[in-house]
Amino acid sequence: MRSFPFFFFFVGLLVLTSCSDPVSDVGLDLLEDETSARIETIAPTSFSASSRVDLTAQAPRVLVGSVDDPVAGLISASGYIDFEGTFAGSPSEEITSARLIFTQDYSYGDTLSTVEFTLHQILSEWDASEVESSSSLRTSEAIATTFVLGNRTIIDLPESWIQEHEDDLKSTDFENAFHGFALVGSTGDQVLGFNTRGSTSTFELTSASGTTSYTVSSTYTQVDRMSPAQPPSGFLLFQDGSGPGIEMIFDFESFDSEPINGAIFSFPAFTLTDFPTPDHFVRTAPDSLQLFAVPMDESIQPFGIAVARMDEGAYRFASSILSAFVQNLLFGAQEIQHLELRAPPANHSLDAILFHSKDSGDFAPTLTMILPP
Amino acid sequence: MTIRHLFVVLTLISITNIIYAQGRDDGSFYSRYGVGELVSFASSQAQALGGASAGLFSYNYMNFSNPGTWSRQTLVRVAIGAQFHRLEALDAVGRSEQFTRGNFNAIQIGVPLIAGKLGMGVSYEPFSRIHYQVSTNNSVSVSPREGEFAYRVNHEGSGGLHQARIGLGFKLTSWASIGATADILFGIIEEGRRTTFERLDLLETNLVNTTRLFGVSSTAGVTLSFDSEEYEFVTTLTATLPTSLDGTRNLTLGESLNVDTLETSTDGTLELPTKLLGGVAFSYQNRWLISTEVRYEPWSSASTTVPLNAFNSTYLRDRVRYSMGVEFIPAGASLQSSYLSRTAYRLGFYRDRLYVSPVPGRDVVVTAITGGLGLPTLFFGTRVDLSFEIGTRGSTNYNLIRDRFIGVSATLNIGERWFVKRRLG
Repeated sequence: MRSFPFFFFFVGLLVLTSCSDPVSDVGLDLLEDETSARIETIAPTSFSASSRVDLTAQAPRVLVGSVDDPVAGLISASGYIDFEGTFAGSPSEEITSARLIFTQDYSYGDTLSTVEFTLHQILSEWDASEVESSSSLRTSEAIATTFVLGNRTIIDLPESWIQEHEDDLKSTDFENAFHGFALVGSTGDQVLGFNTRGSTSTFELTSASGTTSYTVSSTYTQVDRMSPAQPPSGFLLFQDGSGPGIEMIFDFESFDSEPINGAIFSFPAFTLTDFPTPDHFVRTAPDSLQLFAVPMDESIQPFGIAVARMDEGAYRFASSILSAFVQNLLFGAQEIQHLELRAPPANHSLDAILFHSKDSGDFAPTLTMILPP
Repeated sequence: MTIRHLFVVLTLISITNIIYAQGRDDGSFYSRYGVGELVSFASSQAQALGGASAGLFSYNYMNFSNPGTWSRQTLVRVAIGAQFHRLEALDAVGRSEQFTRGNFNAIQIGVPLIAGKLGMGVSYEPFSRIHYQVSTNNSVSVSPREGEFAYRVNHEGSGGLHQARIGLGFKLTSWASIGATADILFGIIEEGRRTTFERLDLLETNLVNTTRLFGVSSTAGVTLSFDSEEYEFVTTLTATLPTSLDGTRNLTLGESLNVDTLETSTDGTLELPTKLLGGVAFSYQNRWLISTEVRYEPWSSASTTVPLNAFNSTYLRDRVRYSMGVEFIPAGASLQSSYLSRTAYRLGFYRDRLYVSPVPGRDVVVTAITGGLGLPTLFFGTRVDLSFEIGTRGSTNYNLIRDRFIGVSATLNIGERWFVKRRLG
């Protein structure tokens, strides 16, 4: 086969001349409806208050006080704080003073009301990862009583208490020897929040060699709803901390195995400030909410799938992760009991908002799906 | 066949696949329908004669449209060719686009088992091609609050069916030859629809329908030739049996999702119709050759349980293809004449009513003129054939598309004696 070198030349030429061109729009008219994306919007088959107990431990804020909200009901809150650190002086030094310093960063209720709370010592070890907002911890009799005036609250502990607990306070094993304080509201129509991030709230001990500052290691707020919420007809109350939360079910089976480009959950809301409230009454709406999925398999913890901020009267959840999650539901790759709205723990509060019920027409919560042509 | 010969053939196969791969997705939109754009390549000689191949009965070319002509072989022949295509598409509203692509025609091998009496043919060639891309920018209103979401949909198709064929041609008498082949049809048809949104919180979806087809068919041909010293008259008839292809179709969803199979696969059957091919050729003094051919394929009787675009009786048409060509070699059979005199000059035309139309009841017709040169080489039995075709496909009526195309192809026809017994002198 003497001719094959020349054949390679010829084939090589063809390889070089082979090429591709840009995409065309010629022929679109023959595709008809195969070029238009579709929008399908459905309302939940179920949209109701959930009995889920909020996790309020390890939040960067503790709440204290009680408030009688004409819409959300009567709620009281008690804060629990533990500290960590090492005594700066020598073991033989006497502690001359001990004080707690709190910085307020949240208020809910009658802002003209003065909040008085009592300080207690927590008597037993507690694990912040296990307590829920309905849990209570064993505490001592009141150590001190104080009023909250202004943003900064300082509580000087009695000398007798210092002398009684001096060994624990100076102990090299302070974290295990001492279990923290409880702040229990006694009077006032307001719930206050104390920031526990960094050094905004500290436990200071003074001795001959200076001041030792213990910083917050664990927090927890016990929230008790003393009377039920009374939301207006056609609305569901969502309240951080105390609950209720919101749980919902959508009929994903009607889109069985459909591919989607996107899924947008929209929850039109009515801020409580739009309702008549007493003068000087402050009630804020959650700045952001989380959409949680509760798996069918109860051995799997619920997990967050999206976060949304309040925007023009609604919380709208839209993200590629959320769309992929819904796509998995449609494919049957994931099964859930229901979805839930939750408040992010990072913004621990008693913020409240009213959601329109599922029968509210244009204001009803919806799931909008964008489907490819 | 020596190791070197085998190496060359394998190399050619791999190179032509590269060419074929580069030519994907940039052809006629009509290839979207049915099993794609039907392709046939009988020989490079026939290609320049408008595809009028049925009656071509030559020692210089294997005619793969009719196994009844394969008895006339004295040399082992290997033919391989590729094509360069340029297409200008225009639709009913005046949108136009140009496409360029290259693809391979075929690899064909002919072996004389008994010289001039019994010949074998083997070929691998495309049976149909799907190669289109259409895209559109659009927007959808999700809600008054959300406003319009802009997106782009890209429709694309690729793949097609291939045909591997092996058969024998036998000379029954001095004027009659018969032949038959076993044809294996197989291939993958991929149709994709990619939807991409500008917003980052929306997913890109790429829905791909993949259809795998496989089936076996058979073609039989009879050739009658009547000749004298001055002329030869050949008439032929070829029939391909109806073919049943087994198909499996999968719909998958790709890209940014971690689940990619939408449905379980669907099995079905695709029934291809009988093909009838008749032709007449007349040659005079080895200088002139006139060839005509009629091809008839009753696709309206075809059916499928594997979903394919427009593959139903509403859109399927009976394919009828007429073609005719003339070849002139000034030197006739003389090997002593000048190079230009030994060159073959060819001209032809064809008219082909496609087997499927995007618009019910409307024919899509391809009309083209063809031509080419058959260039002799320094090596006896080996020629390089260059051919072209210029034509139109369809019209802009009824929302259809008019393609204007020009194709240039080159084919190397190698002819050698491979099985010569060496004798010690």
